[in-house]
Amino acid sequence: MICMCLGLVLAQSPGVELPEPPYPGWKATPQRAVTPAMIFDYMDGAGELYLAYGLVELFIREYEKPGEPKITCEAYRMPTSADAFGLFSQDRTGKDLDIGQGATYASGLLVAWQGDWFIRILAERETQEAKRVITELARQVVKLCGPPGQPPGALSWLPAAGLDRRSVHYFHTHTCLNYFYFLSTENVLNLSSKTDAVMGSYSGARGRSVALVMGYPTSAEAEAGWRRFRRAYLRGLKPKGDYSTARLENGRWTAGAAKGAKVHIVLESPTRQDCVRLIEALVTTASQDPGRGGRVRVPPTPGTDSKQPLRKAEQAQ
Amino acid sequence: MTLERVTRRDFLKGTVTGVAGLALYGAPAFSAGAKPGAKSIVAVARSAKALDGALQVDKPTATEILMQAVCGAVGVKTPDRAWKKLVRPTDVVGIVTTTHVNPTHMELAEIVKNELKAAGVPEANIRFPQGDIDAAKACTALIALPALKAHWLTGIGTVMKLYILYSGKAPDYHEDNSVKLGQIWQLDFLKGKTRLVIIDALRPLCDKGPQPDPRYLWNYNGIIASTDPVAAEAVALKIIQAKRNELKGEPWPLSPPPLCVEAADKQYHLGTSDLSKIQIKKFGWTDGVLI
Repeated sequence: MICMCLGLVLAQSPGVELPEPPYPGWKATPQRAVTPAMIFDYMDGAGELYLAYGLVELFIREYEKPGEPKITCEAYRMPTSADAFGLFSQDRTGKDLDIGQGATYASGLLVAWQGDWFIRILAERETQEAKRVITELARQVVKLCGPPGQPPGALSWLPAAGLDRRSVHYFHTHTCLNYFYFLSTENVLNLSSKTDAVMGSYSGARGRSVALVMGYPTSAEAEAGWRRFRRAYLRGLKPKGDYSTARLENGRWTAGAAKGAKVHIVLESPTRQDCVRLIEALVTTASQDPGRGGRVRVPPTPGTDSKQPLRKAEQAQ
Repeated sequence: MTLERVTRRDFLKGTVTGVAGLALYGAPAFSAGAKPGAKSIVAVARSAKALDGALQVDKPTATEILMQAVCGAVGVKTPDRAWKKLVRPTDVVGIVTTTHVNPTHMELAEIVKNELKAAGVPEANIRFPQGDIDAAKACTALIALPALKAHWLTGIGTVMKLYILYSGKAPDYHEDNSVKLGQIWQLDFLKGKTRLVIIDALRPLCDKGPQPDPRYLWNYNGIIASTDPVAAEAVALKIIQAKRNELKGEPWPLSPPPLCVEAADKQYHLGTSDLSKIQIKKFGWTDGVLI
């Protein structure tokens, strides 16, 4: 049975079946499925975020109990586990929970990832009961999401020493980059759905540095992205040396290099010394992984639960 | 340099300052949009009782602060005089609200509707035309009533973004960091119709908008009103940015910077974003006022 209601599809989908209410007194709405084409009907411009990670489909169920806030449970099926992680990496503010492959909770919102799935469970306001329901729903939903998936291989491009792990973001597009760190209204790095990017902050004695590494489909495209960045962003700075080190107008330092199919950039660093040290570490670290970013699609395991959608087998190059 | 082509370094160099620069780097605001010598008035009215413990609107309190804000914005002492200054009984008035994610509290829209009726506008001539071009065309006056929220594509997604559905091609207006949102306000069927902007700042969202994220929602319990839409948004932006800095304990710039507000002033001349040319009138509750 399929019917159209406000642009949303009520469908019996081969994806997950979100759980019944875990505790007495709660009722759940029928599950809804939202396709990428309908995401804006469901969440306006916020849908662009999920499309930027290649949303496959979204399942929603709402839970209500008199006297308690409404709880909305959303399960986003992404094309790869790396993309599910990418959504999770948007913001990990909150308390870590041992649910799925990663989960945080704060103020009535729980986000988690498991395999190819990103899970978001939100109460209209926080109560103890709502928190209990949210946490139990999350535990049940991750069990429906299949086995663990690989996080992005791009995470290995960032050297571990001094890295603030909560600051790490994995993404693909210029729009996402600008949300994390506004660089330009134009796509000066030629980012797209085909690029893999990872960003993180590093603490130092004199302040914070921000690093960005991007993997492109080919070295020619990486070189083109780097040239465009130099032209559009470093103009007038007189970058020097192998790593185009330059001092920004605010006294902080930037550096970068294209090596193979990757571009490495220190977006800002408090001193030249910190900047050079970090760019050298980025280049060295990323060179140890020849892969593009680790978006791995895992072939289905024989005997897999029929409720799990089949996933394509595709190894990142 | 146009605001369609801006890099972070333009803020560092001081090429872009104004309200977007304030948001990104604490740069001083300036603007070319205001009339010399004239200040745009933005009224901010708040009450600790505007929302109850279940986040429900307390209607008498909401009515009180909405009236304070409207009177303050228009510069008169009574709501009756304020609304009669804004609309005529012959007007067809559209109340344009944020209808979807993080929507306007409809209790506020009902209050405005009742006030319009009291000002002599027949109920049949009070519409809710959000997203309906034909309905907007039929209106002779608009009251913009958006909900205050940050936006991950535009920096802030409140006043300038309110009319995006009237463009008929909303995704196009997210290009170039959504700089061109003010252009929509100049469409023939919208231009000059907005008599008043009332921003629902009862429970604003200071990050991740439009999708609600309770980590960044808080009870500001306020109403912001102005006849200058850009000034209203500039003050709202200042509140959002101040809350972000407070949450992090350090500067936490809006990203991307809200270039649409600057552009609405400098490129589309819809009002002033220059905080030095805005007079903020504050009413009521002062705890956490942030401005």
